[in-house]
Amino acid sequence: MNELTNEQFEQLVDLADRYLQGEMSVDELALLESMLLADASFAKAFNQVTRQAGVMRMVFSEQQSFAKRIGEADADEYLAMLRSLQPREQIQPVQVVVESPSKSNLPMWIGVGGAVAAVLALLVTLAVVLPTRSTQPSQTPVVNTPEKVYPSAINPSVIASLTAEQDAQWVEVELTPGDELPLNKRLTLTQGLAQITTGKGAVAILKAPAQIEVLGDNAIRLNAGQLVGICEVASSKGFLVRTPHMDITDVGTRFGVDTKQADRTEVYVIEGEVEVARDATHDGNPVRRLLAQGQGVAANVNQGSLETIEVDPERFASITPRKIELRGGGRGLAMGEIDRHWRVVAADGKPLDQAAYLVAGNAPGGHGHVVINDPAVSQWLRGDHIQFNRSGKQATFTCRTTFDLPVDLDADNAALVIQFLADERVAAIRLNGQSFKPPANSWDNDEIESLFSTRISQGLRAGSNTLELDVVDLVRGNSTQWSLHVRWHLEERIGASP
Amino acid sequence: MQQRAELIGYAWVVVGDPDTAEDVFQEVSVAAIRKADEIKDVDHLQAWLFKAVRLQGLKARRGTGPKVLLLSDEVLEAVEQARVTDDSFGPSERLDALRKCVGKLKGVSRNIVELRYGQNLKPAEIAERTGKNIQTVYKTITRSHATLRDCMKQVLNHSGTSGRTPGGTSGGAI
Repeated sequence: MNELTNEQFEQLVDLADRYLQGEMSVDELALLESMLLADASFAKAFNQVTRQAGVMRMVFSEQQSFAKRIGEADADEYLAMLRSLQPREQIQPVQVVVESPSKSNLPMWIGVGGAVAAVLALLVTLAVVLPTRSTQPSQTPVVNTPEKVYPSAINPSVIASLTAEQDAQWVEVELTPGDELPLNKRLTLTQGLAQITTGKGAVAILKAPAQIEVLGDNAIRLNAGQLVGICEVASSKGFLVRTPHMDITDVGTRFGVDTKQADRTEVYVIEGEVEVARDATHDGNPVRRLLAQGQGVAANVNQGSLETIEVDPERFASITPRKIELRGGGRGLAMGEIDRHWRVVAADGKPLDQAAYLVAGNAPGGHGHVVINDPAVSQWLRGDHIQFNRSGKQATFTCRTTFDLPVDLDADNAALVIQFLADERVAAIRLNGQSFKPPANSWDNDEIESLFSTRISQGLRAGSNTLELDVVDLVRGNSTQWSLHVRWHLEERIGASP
Repeated sequence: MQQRAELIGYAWVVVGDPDTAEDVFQEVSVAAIRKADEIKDVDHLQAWLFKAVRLQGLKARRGTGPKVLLLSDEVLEAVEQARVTDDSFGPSERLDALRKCVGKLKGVSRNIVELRYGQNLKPAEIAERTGKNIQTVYKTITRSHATLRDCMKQVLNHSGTSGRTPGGTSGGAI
């Protein structure tokens, strides 16, 4: 291959430029073709010039300025760009038949999964910067969703944060676990998985390609993509996921949302209950429905109502953290039966002389709306039968249990979710001797309908673990009754080894 | 970003029109997502994308009828072959460097190529708008391409990412 002289290069640039701009005469085209066929050096230089032209077009074109688009594109335009990627029926399939290149030349160090991810990541990234052409947005409905004001907007610094990720790549921003997320800013995930925890404790796991906005400390907007919402902390009850087609409010505890199709949102309840609603903001007739575990609905742009759909339970499995149910207090016991897994080991910090176990009992109070027993999961445990000479109106009982975690546990990527409620309150939690401050909690006039929750991600061990809760009891009148309701499970974060 | 510039640049060569080239790129992008499971690795992907761009581009220009003079299929294949085997293609550093170099264009040169490639103005229009001689416009465009080429060499040689291409050549050698 010969190197081009300056003169040859300049001649080639001139021809290439005229060619690209459609200003070429027949003679000039013939000259260009003869040059390109004569020597590979000309073809290589031609490619370089056209590549340079392509980059200059991108750089100089205002419409293609990514920074400009980030700053000025409205949500619908942005959504249209993101969604232009999704294979949809209304896009005519491209009849491109390409034979595979010779396998002998293919380095195999990149696995198929990596290649697929590379294709998706590449194309999503590229598509985000695609200019909105007149032919594209018409396929994507325009959706206007007025903003709601959420109380947490008062303090944007603690609204939500990235709490875990797996090969996550974001457009224009670099986020690492622990980073706080801005309010009302579109965040586009082009690759991998990302776990976001809101200020109220709701967890949203995103799968790329996806675009979200944090709307408040218990609300996000999913513009496009797949998401699994997890609300296992009491304060996160009411977590809202707003999509262009409906609002999804978590009543507890896990649900999947899919807005990969531009004109449709699908919701599936993995566990617990979810309320879905459409109103005027979703371009449809007002409709509201409560969904139970295993149920799914879809909302279409051109369909005012919610459509009941069958959803494969495995659909969201790849982005749902593995949950390992552990033993709940009083599980499977009859009323009055001793729970030998829960022992009171100390009172007011002094060890008790003899083994004192909690016993399964009814909910305390009995006249309010309190957490009720579920023998299959957990029940109230009572401790007022335990003999102890109180020195005052208050006593603290240390309740202990031991439980096993898988021997292959990846402790660095797991969290223990403890849900509890005590009459009067839980003052301290210790896991394997390590103290954790519980969230503010108290028995409140028999009106507490859900458990308080805390998430512990430090101090976990494969194999045997010891959990202690200090229950504070207040003597009211002559009553020395005190009770504890507790259940807990292990949750592996995204990215943990299976 | 990098692959997009490369592919749109190539699609532009195939269809002779930058707007249609972007349409072709979008259609190939959708097709690539559908084909994702069949893509074996990055080399396979790159080869597939070029070929898909050429075939889709040929289809696009057949459908609308040629508005401008275009390279023949035979020449396009030669160009594509050179592009696939070109050391300049592949490492993202190459196109990162090119983007940086474009950013370094200043003054009249930058103004003229911006009008040419950013706004698709013809040299006569650029001459009128800038008050320059039309030959100056042509020369500036040519000189800007040469400047970019030289800048690319410099940046890549400096960063040690010149791949298999021997660096340090002078004059008009690519």
